[in-house]
Amino acid sequence: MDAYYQTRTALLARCFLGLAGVVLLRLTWMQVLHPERYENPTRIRYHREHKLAAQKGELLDREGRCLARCELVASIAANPQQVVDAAAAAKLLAPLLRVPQSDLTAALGRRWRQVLLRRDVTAAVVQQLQPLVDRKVLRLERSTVASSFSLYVFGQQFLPSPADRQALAVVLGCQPDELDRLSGLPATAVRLRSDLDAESAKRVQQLGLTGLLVQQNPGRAVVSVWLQPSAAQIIQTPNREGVMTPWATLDPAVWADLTPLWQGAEVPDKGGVEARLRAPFVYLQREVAIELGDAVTALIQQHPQELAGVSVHREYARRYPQGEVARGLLGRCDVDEHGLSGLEQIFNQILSGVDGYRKVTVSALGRPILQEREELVPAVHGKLVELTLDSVIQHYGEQAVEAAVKEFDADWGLAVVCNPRNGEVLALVDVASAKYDVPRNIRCLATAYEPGSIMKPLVVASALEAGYCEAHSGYYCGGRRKVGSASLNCIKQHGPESVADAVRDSCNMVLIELGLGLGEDRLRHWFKKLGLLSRTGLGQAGQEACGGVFEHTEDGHWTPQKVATVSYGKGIQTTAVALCRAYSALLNGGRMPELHLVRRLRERDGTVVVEHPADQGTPVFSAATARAVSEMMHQVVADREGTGQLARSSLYDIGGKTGTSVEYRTHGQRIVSFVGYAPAKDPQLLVLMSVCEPREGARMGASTCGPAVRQILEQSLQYLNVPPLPQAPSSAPGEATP
Amino acid sequence: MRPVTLSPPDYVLFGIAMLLSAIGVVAVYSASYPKIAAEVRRATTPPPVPGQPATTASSDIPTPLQIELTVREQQAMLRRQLKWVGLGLCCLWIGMSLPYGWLSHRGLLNLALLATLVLLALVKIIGTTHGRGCERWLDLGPVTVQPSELAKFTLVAWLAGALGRLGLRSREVPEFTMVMCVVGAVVVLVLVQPHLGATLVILGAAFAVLWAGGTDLRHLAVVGVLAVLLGLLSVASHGYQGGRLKAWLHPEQNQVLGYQTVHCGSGFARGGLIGRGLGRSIEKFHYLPEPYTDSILAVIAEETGFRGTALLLLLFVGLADRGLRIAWRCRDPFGKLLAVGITAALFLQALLNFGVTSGLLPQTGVGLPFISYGGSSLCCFLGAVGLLLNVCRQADLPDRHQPELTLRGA
Repeated sequence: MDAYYQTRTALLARCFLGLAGVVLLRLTWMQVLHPERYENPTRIRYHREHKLAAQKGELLDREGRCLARCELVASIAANPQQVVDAAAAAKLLAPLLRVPQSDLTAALGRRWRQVLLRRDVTAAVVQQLQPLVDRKVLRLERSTVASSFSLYVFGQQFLPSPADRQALAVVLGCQPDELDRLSGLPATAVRLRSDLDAESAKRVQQLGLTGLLVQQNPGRAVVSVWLQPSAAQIIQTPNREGVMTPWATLDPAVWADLTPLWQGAEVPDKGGVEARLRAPFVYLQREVAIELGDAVTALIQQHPQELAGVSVHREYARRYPQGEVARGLLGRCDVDEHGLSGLEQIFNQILSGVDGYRKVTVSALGRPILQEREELVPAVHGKLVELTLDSVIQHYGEQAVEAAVKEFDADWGLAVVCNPRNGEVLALVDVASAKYDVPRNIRCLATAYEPGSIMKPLVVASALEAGYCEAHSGYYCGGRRKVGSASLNCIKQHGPESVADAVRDSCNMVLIELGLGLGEDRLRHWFKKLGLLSRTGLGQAGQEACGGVFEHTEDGHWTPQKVATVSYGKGIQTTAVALCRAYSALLNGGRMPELHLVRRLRERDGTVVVEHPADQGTPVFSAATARAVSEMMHQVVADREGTGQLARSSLYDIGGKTGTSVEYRTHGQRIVSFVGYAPAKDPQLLVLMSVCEPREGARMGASTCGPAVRQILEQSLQYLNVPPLPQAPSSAPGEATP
Repeated sequence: MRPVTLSPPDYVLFGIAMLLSAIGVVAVYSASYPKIAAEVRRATTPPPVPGQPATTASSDIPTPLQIELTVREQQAMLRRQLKWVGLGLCCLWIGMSLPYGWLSHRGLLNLALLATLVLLALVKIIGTTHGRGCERWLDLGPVTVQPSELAKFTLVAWLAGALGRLGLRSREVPEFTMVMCVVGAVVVLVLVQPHLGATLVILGAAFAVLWAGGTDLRHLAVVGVLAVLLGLLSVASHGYQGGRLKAWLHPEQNQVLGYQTVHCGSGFARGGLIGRGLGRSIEKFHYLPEPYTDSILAVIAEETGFRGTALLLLLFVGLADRGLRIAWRCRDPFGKLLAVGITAALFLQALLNFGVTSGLLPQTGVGLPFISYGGSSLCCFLGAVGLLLNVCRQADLPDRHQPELTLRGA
């Protein structure tokens, strides 16, 4: 008996050891070998992240006037679940919020909302769900989704630089060589791709290449299925903390009826769908004055019962204190203060900063666990951008251009005011008539157009610098000349003309002579040197266009006819800012400064982060050439036979050049321009103004833009305290020249 | 009567029991903190004006109510558990110093069994549910007790007495049937509470005693097969238990029944090899149900990692080893079987808890001996250890039922 007991006890001990061994294996499996399988299989949120919003920076003009800033505002919101009596609450709030009482009652009482169950369901499923739709359980929403984009190329306008070509090839996923043959295609649109996704389409657009067009393909019709709140029953259930709360429950039969909807997709959690039926948040009024928010807060404290669930949130809104001045230039932001257009878009990254966050571990009741370290990444606030713009000069510019666009019934007008000495841009004016949509981009940067005769001083300066001619070299204008197959005209038959006279009279024949003499290679060289075929860098690609010369022969060369027309500003396209930069070289003793919009970037506390370096400018022309050509431009305005006499001022000695072009590319769109500077001896300001399609008046650069440029120059120079000319009654500006 | 010299008690066993109780005190202190904080918060914050917005700040995170728990408040559960340990030590001392003759006295054992049966019946009649779906507690004014904890040991003691007395006669069918009827009565009374965990422990311990007590294996096999069939039948007929099984196999697919399994597993996995550090469990913050009673092992696993759980398992294995050693040494059949039964009850309950919290077994509510918070279980377990020590001291004495001569006759 004894031995019997002992054997069985020993067996029991081994049995126990075996069980313990199994448990030990399990522990090793769970804790050492594969903890990741057990860590959070149901994906519960143990953390809450609280965004620490970065404050968006300000835009300041050169005098420190604030152009755009973020202002603390209040938003009034409500949780309809907590609202006891919507009508009573609406009655209290309506007078303060100035919203119709009925609207408020509706918003406050909207406790349940529809829930999107599935997007893009097939017709067969729609058929099966029809009974539920009839019972108002479901609502079908038909819409179209943009699925793809097409890319078109206009052959002869498509002349990308090798880098751009490389970039485009990367986006399209092809060899760069394949893109070469595109330049030989006809000028009509050829579809290059028909199935670009949104991402690639955006990247192509950001390259900002001329001759490419991205268009959205027609969308595909899809049906979305929404669950209506009326389908659910409302019951009162205790929540986790024991408070009775209304809860929407779906009849299991209805839920079962929805089964066809889940074909090929994961079946959602019924409880989750029911939870989404609750509407927890509704805005009553967004972005109102902070005082109004405080008043509402006080009201809530006075009437805690009636206004239960109503809350006041403080947030930031973008404000533009200078009113309408530079409004279009500054652009706009979306609700989240993300720059969408204009300077807001250009400087979005600098202004925005980076949001931070606070991540805390919470208990199942949602309360932070104090002993767990919270992860804190502070927000990096946006920087202050101090622009070179002067809002007063901007205002003068806007006034003058707006008046001109109105007076001459034009499509749009633009003006650039800059300081040719250092390349600071003082104003970028962009006015469109009411017929025109407000452009997304700043037209001074984004539109490349044929400059017309305002190219002439630049070509003349190139010819002088190249030693091809002298200012007094004589030529003859016969009024008409055949180059290649084309017959080119002048305004009239000028007869014998010197180079200086040609600028004064805007004679095409002399310029054709100079252009053909210089030849394609030298013209290309000078255009490149003057930056007419490249971006100024004021805006990124996509915001600023790049100039170019269109229409080539097969081997990529210009025809003689092209060489001739380019010399007087036809067949070449460039932007207003690029022209201003080139002109700065003439007015700054031959040195071309880089145009810039930003003087310095500052942190919020005032410390300067980046300052624009003092710019000597790239030497382009000799001082003598620059002086000679600026004197010719002075004569355009000052001489009795000059084409720009309408810009002559009694206050300041103005020089300039007129220009009129009939755009080849846009089927005869007429763009008239005037570039002016003053004072002639020591240019302080350079103004370029262009007006598109003037329908009234002489429709010439001098008559349309001359007076406006004079007005801008006079007003701005007076504002800058530049001493005007001594007021001699019969001062002849022409005598001031050597 | 010849002079009786008792052997010294097993100090290692005593040490292991004390170490486990100490670990339990620390674990309960840590695991009960969120509950205490929540209670204090509820007591100190005024009830919210109905519907008043809690905060006007737009924030996903509710601002933490700055509650500073005083040391006294923090340690409320700690002190309660320490009190229970103190009381448990008294039980241990009582269990150890009870005269051995009383323990094995047939009338007293029958009385204890009867008292247990009455208490179990009372639980069904006037028991309190403690807010859960089962009646397991008896309200005795200042304290509530759980008779099922007591039942394990009284049944084991009664079985030890009966089988020791019966000797080889327990292999006969009528005797065996009588014994099994008693076991069945206790098991049924516990099962109807319902308290599946305790039932399993009682069944396991009773089986161990019957096995070690020399019963016929065929009889045991028949009873075992019957029990398994009954179990299957109840699973098949009872949706609740069936759901539990499904939730055990795929806990992440069942938000309700699988919840505890998922969060226990999460505690184990978060702890990893090293653990997050004492007091740094996250699961205990209201994610884990019963963090300081049934699921306390998950909290320990999260805070001390594999090191902690393996050490704990080792301690229980050590406990079983010492208990069975005592049984091995003991010459008196009653003492031997009592030691086997107590050891089996302790060890099987511990293993059941390990198995349940680590997801190896389906969910049943059973505490971890010495560790989980709870007065009656701690007193019972420490008292049982006292009994084990009592047996240990008597172990080397000759069997009282046999004449001394037979022993010396060799």
